[in-house]
Amino acid sequence: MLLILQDDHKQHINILVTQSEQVLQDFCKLSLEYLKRGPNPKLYQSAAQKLNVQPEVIRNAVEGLVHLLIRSCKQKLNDLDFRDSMLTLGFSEAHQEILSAFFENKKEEILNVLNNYSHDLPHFKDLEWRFEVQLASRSLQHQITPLITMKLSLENRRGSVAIPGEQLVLQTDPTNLVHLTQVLEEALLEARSQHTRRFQRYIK
Amino acid sequence: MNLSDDISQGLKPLGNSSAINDECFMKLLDMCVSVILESEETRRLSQLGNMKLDVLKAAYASLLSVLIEAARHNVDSEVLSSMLAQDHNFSSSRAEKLVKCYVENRTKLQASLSHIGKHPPHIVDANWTLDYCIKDSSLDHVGKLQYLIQIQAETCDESMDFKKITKKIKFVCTVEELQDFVSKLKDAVKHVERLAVV
Amino acid sequence: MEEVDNIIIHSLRKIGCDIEDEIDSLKLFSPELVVQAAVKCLDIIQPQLGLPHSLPPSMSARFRLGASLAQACVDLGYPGEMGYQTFLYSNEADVRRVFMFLIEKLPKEAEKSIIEPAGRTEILVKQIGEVLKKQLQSPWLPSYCWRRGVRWREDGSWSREGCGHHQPFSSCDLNIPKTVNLKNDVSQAWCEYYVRYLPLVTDQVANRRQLVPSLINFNEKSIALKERLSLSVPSESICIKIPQRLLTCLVQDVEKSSQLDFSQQLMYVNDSGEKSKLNQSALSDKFQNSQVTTAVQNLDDIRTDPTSVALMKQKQEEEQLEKTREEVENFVEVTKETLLSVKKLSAKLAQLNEDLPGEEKALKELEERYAVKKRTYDLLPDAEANLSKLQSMVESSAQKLVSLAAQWEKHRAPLLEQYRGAKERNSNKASESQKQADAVRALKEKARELSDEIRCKEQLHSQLVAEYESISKDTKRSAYTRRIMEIIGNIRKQKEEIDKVINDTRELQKEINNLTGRLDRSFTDADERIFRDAKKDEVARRAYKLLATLHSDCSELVQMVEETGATVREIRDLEEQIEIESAKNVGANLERVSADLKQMKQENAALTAQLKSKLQSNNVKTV
Repeated sequence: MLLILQDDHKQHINILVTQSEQVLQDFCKLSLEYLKRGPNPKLYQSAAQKLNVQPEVIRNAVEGLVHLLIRSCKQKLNDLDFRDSMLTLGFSEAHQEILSAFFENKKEEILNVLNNYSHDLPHFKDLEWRFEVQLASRSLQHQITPLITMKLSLENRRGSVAIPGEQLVLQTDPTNLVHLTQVLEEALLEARSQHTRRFQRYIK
Repeated sequence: MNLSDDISQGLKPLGNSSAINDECFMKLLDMCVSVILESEETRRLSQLGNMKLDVLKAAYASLLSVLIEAARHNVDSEVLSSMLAQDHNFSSSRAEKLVKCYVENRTKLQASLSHIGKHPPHIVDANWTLDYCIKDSSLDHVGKLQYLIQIQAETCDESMDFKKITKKIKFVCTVEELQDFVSKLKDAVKHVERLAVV
Repeated sequence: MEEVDNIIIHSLRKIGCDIEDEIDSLKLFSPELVVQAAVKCLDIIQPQLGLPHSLPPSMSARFRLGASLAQACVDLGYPGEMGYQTFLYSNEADVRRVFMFLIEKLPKEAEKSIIEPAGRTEILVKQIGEVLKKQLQSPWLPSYCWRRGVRWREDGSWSREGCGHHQPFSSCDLNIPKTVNLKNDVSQAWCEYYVRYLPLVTDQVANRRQLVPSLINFNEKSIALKERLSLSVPSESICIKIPQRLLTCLVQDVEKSSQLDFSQQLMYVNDSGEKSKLNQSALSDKFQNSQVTTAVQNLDDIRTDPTSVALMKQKQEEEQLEKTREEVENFVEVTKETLLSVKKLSAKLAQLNEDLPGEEKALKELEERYAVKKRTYDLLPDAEANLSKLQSMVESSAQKLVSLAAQWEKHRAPLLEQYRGAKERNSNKASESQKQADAVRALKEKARELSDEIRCKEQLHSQLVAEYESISKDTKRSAYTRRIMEIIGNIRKQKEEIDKVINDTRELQKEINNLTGRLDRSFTDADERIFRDAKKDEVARRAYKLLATLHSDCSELVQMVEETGATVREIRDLEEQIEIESAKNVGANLERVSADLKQMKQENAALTAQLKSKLQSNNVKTV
């Protein structure tokens, strides 16, 4: 499978095709910087002076490179596919090798980020529990009421960053606790069931 | 269990049948129990025949107090009857009637009293869906299992006159996270079961 | 042996073996019973063994069971030898030894009772355990199945499984009629208020949920107040127990509430329909005339339902209203003025009334002075005589005064004494009554304590009775101890006898030794003498020969007797051995063994036949 890019995207990247290997490597570093810290106009300014072009062009090239990486990850290109795609874009063998190494290096990280990007429901993070018996209250001074108090910590994930979310204090009685455990255990078992496995195998 | 002077005074006419007759006493007792249990039917005091209203109002409040305090302290039937007879000059038949009513309704009264207090939301049920995520906006091939868990917890809403509401807590789990969650819950269950064996 | 058997059978019955009544010695135990009893004992000693409680029908399984039983006993530390034969082909003595060993190993009941919890914490933990058990065993049901989140069980207990119906402990002030007040009677106005206007406690709370907390609060508040009042008088040291600030707050609160109550209640009554008019008129009666009241009533009517009136009517009514309002304002103004003038006038009147007694007093003084002056003027013409008369009068009155004083003193002294005595008696009486009151209070307290104690004791008694009943009627125990004591006594007697016999035997032995010694000595003596004589005398020589034969014959005889004794002893030994062997009922056992062997052979044959047929059918199938 080959990567198919839009025309203006191609145009943005095109400037790199004619550059030397050293310059391409610098661009790879720039895009890495971009991934980590966002755009850095100062660097682009100096690069533009060196290459004698508009800073806008540099910026477009960097962003194009980043976008290229993300597209490749999104479609889960393997090495061969990536190589062919680069060659069809007009990069030379040497260029392609640099890009492939860069892609190979950053693939995992980008995939991980993309994986957690999709939805904004909070994730389960932690659960603390404590068993207590209520022996008296102001309105009922002799009682034995077993209670399980729990602190459920949730977190929101934006890409690779985990934002601590809500902390909920909940409580329940033994009967409901057993029920809750059973229900969730059932859910867990379902993940290992034949049905689910078959599904996973067929829809790959 | 201690009763204040006002309550003791209100109890006085209840102790002998000359001040408040038997029928009236039983009706009053019924009324008090149903008020505490918050059952629907309520009777008016005017149905109790012509009585001195101030006496009746005081007796009503005192009887309510006695039932509440006895249930609150889980007082023995014997202790209650001896207290009524010794400290409040109840005739033996009157004390017996009151104690009988108390014994019959003790657990119900206590259950009703247990509703007073503040608690965190109480988990009553849980639902889940297991999704196999195939593709999403940022990734063409996702291929992972994901649980959507919804825990239902009962609580009362302070802004809505303490009406019962069911809070729905929704969150997402991967298989590993759910495993973590379930193992922690199982720990709790095991602990509770171990205590139950003793 | 009978006693031992009895004890063994008794203990076996106690651990739940069902042994029929007619079996009273181990001799009558069937192999099945032996195995059953042994398995029961082992089950109690080592519950995890899990052996079957009855003999299986198959021979080989029986042997296996016997072997595992024997192994278990050996593992427990049984000193003697044992194997499957001990259980399956039992003889009395072996069985007895095994059961004595096993019963010795049974856990003592005393240890069990020590494990029973005693302290409060243990009881609490146990209660918690029971509650937990109940809750864990109840099946889960969705929360909408419970009424108000409470699950009721068949045994009347309940548990909360939801918090949807909870309410906070929020209370408000309540007012309860004081029907009988001991110190000062309730005033008429309060009484009227209680009867006619004070709503029920149920209606005093804004929300029904507040009723219970309010009642609890009401009771606690007045108890705390009373305690504080009673505590602050005697000593400050006790007072410290309750935070002072809290108390002052409480007291202020109570006072404030009682002040506010009246107006609050009135407002409350105002809100509720029909009563409002009644109440309002009651209010206005005190301050305004009746006309104003009707106006107010009109106003009230119009205010309550303006929406239901048609537009036209409304206009008319508005005009009328305007008029009435003006009228009302006029009236109010007039009333204000009148009230003002009334106030002024009444103030004046009051001042005048105040002045009046002063004036009257002055008048009286003046009149008195006038009377004195008049008399002096009357007396002036005959001054001398009058003066002497006056003097004598003064003297006589002085004398009179002195005598009166003496008389007064005479009367006063005994009265004073009487008064003092009475006072003293009174104080005595007061202190005595105080003492008695104290005693009564102490007695009451004591009575309550005693009744509590009695209740506790009764509870304990019933518990103990129940416990006693649950313990099996072990009356045999004392009998057994008596028996054992008797047996020990018997044994002691027997031992003494045996000692005596041994002593006798020893003495006899000694005598025999003595006699043989003497015999030896007399024989050598006789031998020497006759031998000496035999050299000279023919007769003596013959005598010597006879002596020698006599001696050898006698020694032979003695030897024979000894040998007989030994043989008799041997015979006795052998007889004993025969008895022991016959007790083992080898013959019967042998017969049973051979029968079992035959059965086993049959089983084997059947099994081989089965195997063969199976093989054949298999062969057929494969072909």
